[in-house]
Amino acid sequence: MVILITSDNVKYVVEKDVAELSVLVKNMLEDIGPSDEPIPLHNVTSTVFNKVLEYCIYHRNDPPPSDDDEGCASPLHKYLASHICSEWDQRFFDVDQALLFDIILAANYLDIKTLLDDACKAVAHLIQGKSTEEIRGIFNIVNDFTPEEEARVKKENVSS
Amino acid sequence: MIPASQSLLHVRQQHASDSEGPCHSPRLRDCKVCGRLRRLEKEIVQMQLALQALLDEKDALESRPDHDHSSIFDRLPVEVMSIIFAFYASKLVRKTSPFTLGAVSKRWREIAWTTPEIWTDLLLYKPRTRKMATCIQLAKDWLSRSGALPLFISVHISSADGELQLDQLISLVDTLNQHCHHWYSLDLDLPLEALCRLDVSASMSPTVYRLALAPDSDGEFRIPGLSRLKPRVVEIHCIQLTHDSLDWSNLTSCTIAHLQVDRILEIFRAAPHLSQCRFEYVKKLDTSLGTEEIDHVTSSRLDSLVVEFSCGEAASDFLDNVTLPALTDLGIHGDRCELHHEPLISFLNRSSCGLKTLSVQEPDYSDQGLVNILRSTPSLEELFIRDGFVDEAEVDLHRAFIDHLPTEETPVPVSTQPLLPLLRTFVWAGQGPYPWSVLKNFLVPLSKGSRRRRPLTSIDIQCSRNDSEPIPYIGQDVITEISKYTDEVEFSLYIEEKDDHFVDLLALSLERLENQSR
Repeated sequence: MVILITSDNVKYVVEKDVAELSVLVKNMLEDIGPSDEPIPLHNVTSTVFNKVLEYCIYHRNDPPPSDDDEGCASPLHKYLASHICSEWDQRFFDVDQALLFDIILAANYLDIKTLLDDACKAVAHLIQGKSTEEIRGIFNIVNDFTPEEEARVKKENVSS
Repeated sequence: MIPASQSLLHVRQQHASDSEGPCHSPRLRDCKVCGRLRRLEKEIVQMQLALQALLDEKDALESRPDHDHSSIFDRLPVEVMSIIFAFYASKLVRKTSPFTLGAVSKRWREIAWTTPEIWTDLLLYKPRTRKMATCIQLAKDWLSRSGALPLFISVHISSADGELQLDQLISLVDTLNQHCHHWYSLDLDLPLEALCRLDVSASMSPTVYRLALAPDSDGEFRIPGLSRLKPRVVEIHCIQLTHDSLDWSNLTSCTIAHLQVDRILEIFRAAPHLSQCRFEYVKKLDTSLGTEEIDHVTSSRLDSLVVEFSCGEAASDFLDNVTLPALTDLGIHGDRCELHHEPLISFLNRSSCGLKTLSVQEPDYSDQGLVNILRSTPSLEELFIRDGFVDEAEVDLHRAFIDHLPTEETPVPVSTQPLLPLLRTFVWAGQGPYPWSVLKNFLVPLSKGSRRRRPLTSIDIQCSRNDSEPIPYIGQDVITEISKYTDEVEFSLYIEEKDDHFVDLLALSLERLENQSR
């Protein structure tokens, strides 16, 4: 078992194989060697870590992701790879925007590639099929182009 | 600085003190003017209270600590944004253009422009509304952002699309050449003059997995600049290829049209890993070559071949000069010309291949010729007869399925070996009514007194009729017989009515029988 402490001082006792899905935790465990010392997770709150833990427990027995053909995958393969196929995963990521982005930041900090990829797919899915104006509206993004830049951007989009 | 709300209060107090004095009218009540002033004062106070409430709310909102104009995306580091963009661009719909990402904000544009993953799939058609030069420039910029990642390029601009400026297309091909070290799939449908500019000779290691070229006119495909390219998959139409047009050594699959037989033989020799081929409209041997100059070719890995001949002579030229011992799947078509069965039988015998699937267009061979072909392929599991036409002669084929059994008419079997003893799938599609009674022939035992039958799993018939002809219902005797096998065999028996509408004739015939029995 591994003891992890979140930034809001909540203590978790987690099975080692689940904890080691995080490359950050795995490296820290290797660095400190056999020890009961708790590992601090400075950038993750307990609210977010609950979700991270739920994901890691569900996916603990998944085969490791393969990078073999990633570079030359056909558009169809890339399309399939970009989709969250499991219903469980779809439900898992059906959360409000703030929590979804917190999960991404936590996955990035903890270095959990599959969670990071799946959460990024969920965000990509929110953008897909949307116009520029819709994306700006949904995510509160300010159009900071100058009129000249805006004209060039519009030209590209008409041609594409 | 005094907040807006406080200054308003100050004004209100000042107003109140100005107008609250007594009226000096001798009639001991307000004069008209004073009455009006007091009513105005009341209205002003009411309005000021309403305004005060709005100002208080504004102050409260402005002082909220979580008040933030930034986007939730601003929290994400660049590398994570790149991952999201890469997943976004992998969707197979037109609406996911990287240009959409680049149009959101300056930060998004900067990240999109430096994320090579979203610039690997280039699909370019002749623009309808924009200038060609603009599109080609965008395509060039697109490729420049792809880094060294494998490229999937698809450009379809032919002279049939209207007036073209060839110099622009040539400049596009020149740009494509600069990226030949990371081509993965190159699919070009361009004028021949532009295609001829393809040149990988300047690259140390040109690479491509799939090469698909289709010029908009016929011509000789002699591009020395491509001779070092080693595609695994080739799809080329309307261009004559030679053994030195490409490096064929990695080729595993090809679809090529309008080749002469001698050119195909050259490719077989140069492509030892070839396993799947489709040759369309194959032309006969170059007449300038003497028969002694043709070296017989054995392609030892080729397992799937579909070949369409332009004439019977081309079929003989091809089949007489190749041996394909690994062949399991053969499609052979005559493009409305008559084919002789002897060269095919000779080819099959010489190849000693365990052919499992055969697709023929029935009019290419005589009925008896087809029977002879099938007798030489006892390993066949799937038989597809397309564009069939039922006439008197075709009875030979269907009778052959029971020729190994004695009947009242022929007490001594015509053949000692059953036709196609391993047949699992039979598909027939063609014109005219189908002789439904022959369905029983497929289901007969493989020898007299035996229960063993062909291991059929599906029989799929699609026939047709003219409007003036009656519906050729399936007879009760046939339905009774095939109904014994419906657990093992899937019968799809359809008839084409007008406007390509297919009717389930088995269901229709069953319904008719039920109606008759009532």
